[in-house]
Amino acid sequence: MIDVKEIKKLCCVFSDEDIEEIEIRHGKDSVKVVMEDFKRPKVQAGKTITPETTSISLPQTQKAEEKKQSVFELCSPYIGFFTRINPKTGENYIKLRDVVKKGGIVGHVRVLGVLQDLKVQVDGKVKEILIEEGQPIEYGQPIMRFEIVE
Amino acid sequence: MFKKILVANRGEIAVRVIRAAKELGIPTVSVHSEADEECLHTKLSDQDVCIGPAPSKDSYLNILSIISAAEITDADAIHPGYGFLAENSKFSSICKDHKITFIGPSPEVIDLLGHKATARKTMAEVGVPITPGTGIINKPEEAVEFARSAGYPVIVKAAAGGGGKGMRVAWSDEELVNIIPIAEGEAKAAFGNPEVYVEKYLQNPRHIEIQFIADTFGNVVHLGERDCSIQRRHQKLVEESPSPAITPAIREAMGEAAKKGVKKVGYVGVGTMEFLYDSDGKFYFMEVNTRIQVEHPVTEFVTNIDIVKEQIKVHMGERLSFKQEDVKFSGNAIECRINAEDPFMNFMPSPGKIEHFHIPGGPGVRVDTHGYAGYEIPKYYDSLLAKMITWGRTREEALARMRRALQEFRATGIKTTVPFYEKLLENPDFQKGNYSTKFLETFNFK
Repeated sequence: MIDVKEIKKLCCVFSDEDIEEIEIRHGKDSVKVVMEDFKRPKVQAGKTITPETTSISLPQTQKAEEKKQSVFELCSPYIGFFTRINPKTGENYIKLRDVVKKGGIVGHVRVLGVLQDLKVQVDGKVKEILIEEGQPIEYGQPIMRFEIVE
Repeated sequence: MFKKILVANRGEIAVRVIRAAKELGIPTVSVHSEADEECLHTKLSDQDVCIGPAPSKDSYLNILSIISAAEITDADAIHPGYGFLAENSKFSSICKDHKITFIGPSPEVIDLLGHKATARKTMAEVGVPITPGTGIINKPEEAVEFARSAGYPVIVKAAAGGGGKGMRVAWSDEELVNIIPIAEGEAKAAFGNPEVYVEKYLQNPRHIEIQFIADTFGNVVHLGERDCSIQRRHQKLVEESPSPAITPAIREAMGEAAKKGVKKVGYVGVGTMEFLYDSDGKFYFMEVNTRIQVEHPVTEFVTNIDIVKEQIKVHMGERLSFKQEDVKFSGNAIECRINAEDPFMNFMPSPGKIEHFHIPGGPGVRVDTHGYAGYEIPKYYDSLLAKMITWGRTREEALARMRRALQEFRATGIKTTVPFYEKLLENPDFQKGNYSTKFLETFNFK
């Protein structure tokens, strides 16, 4: 049986980190904690979750909430293939947890062979990259999420 | 064989094309705007791609987005359906540049036939009868001279036109001189080309069109006529085949004229040659629609030929699977276009959520629709919701089935034009097949 107090403790430890999910396994039992938007951890069913487990909340995440975190989602205005490689340097424009300035290029969509810039419209910290390198994307598809930096 | 067909359209025609491709074993990609995510065509295709925001100009008319959607899905053919980009030669040409087969005629043929004045001239050269008329009008005096010799009324038409835009009737010299600049302005606004020409105006004609199909080997077959005279503001509402007014001899003459014209321009694919049929038994070339028509199922019913499948096959380079002598016409078919409009409120569009939806069935009934219970009809597009087509061994049987099918049809939560058709089918003149393109001007629906 997984101890709920242990889960809380573990979540507290990682709450300031950019960790999305924590999965704990103990024998046949498992529990997955999803740190959604630093608000309230959502617990997804493992095998033997007690009702008590589903209502855990973390003080640290509340603290995070007080920091007024909000998220900007960059969606594709184009239909094509996504890349975050800068063709001039061969390096990725960004990686997770990088802080980017408003107007900064964070990748491209290759539309019929032409690279179209993807610019971020906020000052933000890269929280998630949702599309893998070279994958096709459609109009309006979310590509990245950023924590808005004041 | 195509690897994959992208259907550059929406609604019922996209569903129709997807069904044909599936039967041929070809995977399909549907495209949709943000407003059409739940439209039926996106559910029936193998893949779907969002190509832009709701307005058509940003999505279904956005050539770059559609070609990009073909690229990311590896589609090697695009079916344009009707409307949107179906008769856009630039789109056809860009498809070619990207090594994508456009399921329609070549850009050159679309341009030639899309320019009404050039098309008339071309058809006249091969002996297709045309209404007496002029070339492009440079000075109003040219129009007046023609009108005096042919007799009033005359009609001013946009050279690049269609759908009734830029068309005006004149009954006197003075009126003609006044309306030419107005028609030119309308033509410029609608088609980007101000050129107009003048034709003798037939006062009570029928609108008869010949369906044809041509392959890359030079074979052309016509599939008989459809009578599309029941129109409201130049938009067809009812189509039937055979026409109640056409004799076998006229059908043959029209069919042969269409085939000659099509061969002359090197047409490949399906299309329709439209004629005006005068009360004195003469017919005159009007225009060619270089695409699949809304009303094609009427012909499918009486010929038992799947026109969309044949269309796809000829664009894959296959020979037509039948010859002219194989085409047998059987019975009568009639189509009513059920629009999401309120016929009691001057046919005002009625978008919204369909709560309950029931499609009629039984012998001789076909319904092509993208509607379903829970579907929300967006306000951005054409209001066509369903095409109801019935077949009977006789016209009377087809009409009886249509009456029965209209009674069975249910779409609650929105208004439809079903009550209009129920009333139309009660009209004695319509029942006798005694109508022209002017019929609805005097038909009292309410």
